[in-house]
Formats: sequence, structure tokens, C-alpha cells
Amino acid sequence: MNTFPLIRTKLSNEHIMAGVFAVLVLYMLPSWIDDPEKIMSFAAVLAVSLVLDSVINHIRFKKTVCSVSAAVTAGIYFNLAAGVPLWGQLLGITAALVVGKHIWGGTGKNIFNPAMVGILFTSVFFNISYPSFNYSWLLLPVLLLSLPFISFRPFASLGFIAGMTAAMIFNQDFSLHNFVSWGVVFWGCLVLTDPVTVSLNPVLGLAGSIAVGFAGLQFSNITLALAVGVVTLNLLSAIADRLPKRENRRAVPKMTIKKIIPYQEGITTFVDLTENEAAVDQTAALPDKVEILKRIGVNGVFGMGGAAFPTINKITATVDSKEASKHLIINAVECDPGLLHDNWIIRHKMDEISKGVDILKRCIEFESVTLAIKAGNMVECPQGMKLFEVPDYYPAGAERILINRVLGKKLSYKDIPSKKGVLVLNVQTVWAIYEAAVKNKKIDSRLITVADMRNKSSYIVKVRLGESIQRIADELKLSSINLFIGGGAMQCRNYTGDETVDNTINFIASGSFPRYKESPQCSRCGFCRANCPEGLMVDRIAQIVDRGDAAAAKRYKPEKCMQCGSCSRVCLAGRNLSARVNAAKATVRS
Amino acid sequence: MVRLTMEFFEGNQVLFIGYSEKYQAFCKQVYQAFSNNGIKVYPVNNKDKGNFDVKVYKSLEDLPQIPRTAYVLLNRKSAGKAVKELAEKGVRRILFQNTKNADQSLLEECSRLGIETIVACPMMRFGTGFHKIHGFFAGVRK
Repeated sequence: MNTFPLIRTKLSNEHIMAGVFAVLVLYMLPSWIDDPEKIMSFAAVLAVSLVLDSVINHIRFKKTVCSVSAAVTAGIYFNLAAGVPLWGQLLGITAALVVGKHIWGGTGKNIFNPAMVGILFTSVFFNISYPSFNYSWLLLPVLLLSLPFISFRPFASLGFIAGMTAAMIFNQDFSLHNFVSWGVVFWGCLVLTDPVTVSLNPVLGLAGSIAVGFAGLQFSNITLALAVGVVTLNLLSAIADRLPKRENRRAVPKMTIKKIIPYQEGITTFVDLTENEAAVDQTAALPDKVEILKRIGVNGVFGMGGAAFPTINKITATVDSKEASKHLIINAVECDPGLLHDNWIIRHKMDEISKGVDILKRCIEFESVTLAIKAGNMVECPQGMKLFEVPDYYPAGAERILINRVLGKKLSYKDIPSKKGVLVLNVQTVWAIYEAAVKNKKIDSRLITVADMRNKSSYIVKVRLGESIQRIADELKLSSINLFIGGGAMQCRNYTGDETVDNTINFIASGSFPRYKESPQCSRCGFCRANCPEGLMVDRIAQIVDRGDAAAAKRYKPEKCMQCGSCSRVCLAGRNLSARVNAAKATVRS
Repeated sequence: MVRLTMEFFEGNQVLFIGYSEKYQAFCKQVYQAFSNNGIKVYPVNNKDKGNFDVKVYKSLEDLPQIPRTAYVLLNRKSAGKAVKELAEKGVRRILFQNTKNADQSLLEECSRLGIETIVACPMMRFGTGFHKIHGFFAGVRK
């Protein structure tokens, strides 16, 4: 069964395209005031585009799919071809949607900007007048409203504006009047920012769009020249995006995600559901190294961060590591937006953590011991440990990201940190080491976070491994029948009704399903790539998996995926992308 | 169209027959609409080996319990076969998606087997936005 983040962006492709459409309509307002008949012309063009797109989508997907992208195409097309007779406009918009969009497979799969294809088609039969807009002060606020869309393709957008402005200065035509009526911002913010047809590549985006903007003004038929330029840039973008990519070496994206329910000392409730604690054979004196390792192994200490890897293997690998300097990082960053119990541990069990560290120091001579916490979660640092504040972003607590931040050591996804002399342990695991080594206690219970998302209440719960999830929900009187379980709010799965708490479960939540509408229309916004901490080409992997050929995704290295769920959270098409990458990862590994 | 009420879903449970990967987006939408309205859903598909976000049971035998109400999203031929099996397993109410998968003869057969039927898209009753408007005009909502 797939996992998915319980929280996701409230935005969708449709919301953004509706925003673009509204701005496009505002661009038409001054001409509508001058010539109200144009309202009817636009209504006719819009109606034809919506009907045509809906019908083709219905045939293709066998269901109703939102056609707001067709409305955007109609808006761009009509703004540029306003002087063309209505029948020519209707033919143009039909060509735009059929030749520019649907023969390529529909929204997200087209290479060329459909509106530009429509303009090229119309140019064959009509002379498209330029400038496209009559100067009006009404257009000034519209320019401001266009600016936010730059964020989709900033390099292409700013490059175009710079190129066209430079051409105006070069031709000694620069004035506010020309800047507005020649549509510098219109082209730059609404045409060149089409994520489907313009590459994210900064060099191509910037250089290509400067060239388009500058060269366009050197021709007599400027609209046609600009359309040809944009279509050429679209073609180059399509080629560039299909070339094999070098590994993305960008810094880790800084995606701050608010806690679903924040930790509040004294308000976040602690509940102990473990009855009859197992008998404890407490030894007064600390055991020696051999005995410590034996107890950690025999008592079954495991990674409490979610991986559930046997801790003894990690410790032995660090002991055996040939690295000259060895480091211990205690991970209490708790970057997942659902988890609260690590925060509770550092506030209430610091003595035990400190003793756990002393035990580890008996086994390994560490050059440094660091307690990594989230910025703002200030606690008193015990002696012998260095406190390291990690900025509040997701997934700051991922093992390799944390090592990089704390020690400045870059490890590849193939490296095993403990073999490189870096032992990273979750704060609860260190507590478990203390319990196992000093008290000789079997690790048969753990802390988890339980969140009632409907009532906005949360609990830190001590449960026995093997405890029924349903019993926990009943004891805490959770408000919804929908239960989700997993390593955290970003990696949840639906509770099936017969599962129990195991080594991997850190989080239980009750509430409504997150809305994954699984739209077939990816706008290639690039948010999934931009937010992937490994820089994976998530959209490309998902596309291949959807085609049913997960093995072909091998060249995009899906095995690097750390399953943080960031891609699913930000997908504007509402697709559970992390499940697709995970499927590719499983296929490649097998 | 007949009004679809919560009472139709006895014990606040429903069997979802025909939860498929091909139409996963719609199936998930229906699943979520039921669940978010307090109805426990048991999806079943005996053919699909798909990759799902929810647990899909291979057969009725795998279910921990069989609800008395079923929602059937199958073609006419498969729906005919499913109805007999559901009746044998004690299902007493069936919600069909539309008249394409439940023609008059199937509804009559259900009636002979003592099964109460409603033909309506559950999104009209449990969905939001446009589904609500659709449900209101179709008479499915109160």
C-alpha cells in the first residue's frame, strides 16, 4: 500500500490558471470599454475553446477534466489577435487547441505554447496588428497583477523583459506608453512563464528569452516574430529537457512546514498505555563495553526514527570503521510536521539521554558528540555534548542532510554513515540504549505521537510494540474513523483495520483524507523537482511509471529517493508522486 | 431520483465492489467521500493487482466482516455476476453508480433476491462543490 503526506498544498493548477485567466481578462478591459462588441467576440472564442477542449478531454480521459487551460489559451490568443475577424479567431483557437495541444497528448504534454501556434496559424491568413494593446492607465494595475507569475519561469520571464526593454532602448523607443502598449510584461509574465513549454533551465531560459525579446522588435510583423521566437524557444526547451541531466547539485530546498498541532509544554498530553512494565534487572555499576554491546543487541534496540534498523549493527559498523575521527550525532530535529515526541523526550528525559551517551562513549571514542535540535527548541545542553540548532525546514532531520549540516561532510546515497565513522541516532534510540544497557530492559515499548486533526489535539503516547492501533484510537477517543499510520505525517498510510504498533510506526492520526485528486494534467511546474532534497526529476519518473514501465525510470536514479513525501505535498496536479517514485525505486532495486 | 440517506448504509459500513487502478482517481474520490462522512469502506477487486493508496481486498472471503450495504462500480455483465454473490453473502442493499451498470433487468433481479437498490453517484450525496449542486438538482440530497 502506498504512503502519502497527510498535508498538501491548497493550491492546484486550476487555481493558478484561473488567476492567469483573470489577469488576461483584465488586459482586455480597456478595449472592451472602447468597443463593447469585443466582449461578444471573446465570449464566442472562449466558448469554442472550452467546448472543444472538454470534448477532446472527455474522449481521451473518459471523464470530465477541467478546461481552464483552454480558457487561458483563449485569453492569450484573443489579446494578441484582437483585430482579426471573428471567424478567423475561431479557426485560430481551434488550430491552437488541436495542433498546439491535443495532438501532443493534451495539457502538460504539448511542446509548443498552444496560443502561439494559434497566432502562427492566424498569421498565414491575416495580418496581426501590433501593438497589441492601446495604452490606458487601467493597464497599470494589471501589470502589477501579472508579476507574481514570474515565479514559474523567472529566468525566461525576466530575460524576455530585459531583452525587449534593451531593444526599445536600442531603437530609442523606450517610454512607459510603449512599455505598456507593446505588451512587454504581458509576454514576459504570461506567455514566457508557461511551465509546460518553457524550460526550467536557467541558461536556456535567460539566453533564449533575451534573444526572443530583443530580436522580436527588429521585424516589421512583431507579433508574428515574437510568436516564432517563442515557438523556437519551446522547441529548444523540449530538446534540453529530454537530454540526460547531470546530478542536481543545488543546496537542499528550504521548505518550512508548520506543525499540524504544535507542541505545547503542559498542554500536549502524555499518556502511558503500557500496563505492567516488564521486570527490570537493574545493575548498579555500568557494564563494560562487551556487556553493553551484548545488552543492546539482546534487548533489541532499534532505530526509533522510523527506519527500525537494528542499532547494534550501526554501532558495530562505527566501531569497525577505519575512519580516524568518529562522531556521534543525536537526532532530535523532528522536522516532520506531525511528530512531537522527540521534543517531549529532550524536555523530560535529558538525564537518560546523557547516560545513554556516556554508555556509547564507553564503546567508541568519539571526537565530537552533537545533540541536533530544531532552531527554537531550546534546551539545556548536558555536559560533554555540543548543541547544534538546525533551521526549521523539512527534511532537515534526514540522516545525510543532518551530517552535512553538522559536520560539513557530504555523503552520497550509497554511503553508509556508520561505516564513514558517523553514528547518527534518534534521541529516543539513545534513551532505549540507556534502558537496554543500564537497566538491562527489553525494548518492547516506544513513544509515538497521536494527532486528532479534527479536534486539533495531540498526545505523546507510550505504547507497547504489538499494541492494536484501534485500541489506541479507542482509548484516546479519536474523533474520526479515518486513521493514518506511519513514520510521520509526511509518510502515512491508510490504517486497514488489523495493524498493530511495530518498529516503524511513530505516528497515528485521525482526520479527513488529504485531497489527492490525481489529475492527469501535469503542468510541469517543476515544484516536485525543486522541492526534492535529492534533486530527482520526479515528474519524469512519475510519467514513466504511469506509462507502466517503471524499469525505464532507472536512468533517473529513483533509488536515491529518501521517501520524504515533499513531491506529493507540493504537486499542483494533486498526484501522489512519492508513491510513483517509490514504485520505480522498488522495480530498479529488484 | 431516489433520496440517498445515511440509513441506507447500515452500520455505517459499505462494500466497494470494483475499486480499480484504471479509475483510481474516481475510486479514491468516492472512498474519501464515504470515509470523511463516517462510513467505513471495504474496497474489493478480485482482478486488479494495482498499486493503491488504500487496502483493496482480493475477495469477499478476505474481509474481516461483510457489510449489509454494497456500492457497485462494475460494468453490466460483471455487476450481474456480483449481485448473486453479494446476495449469498448477506448484502441487502446495493448502490449502483448509474443505469449503464444497472439496467432495469438487473434491478428486477435484485428485487427478486430481496435486495433494496438505489441508482445514484455517491458523490452527489457525500461529495463537495459541484457534486453538491448536482445532488441537489438530482434530488439525491435532502
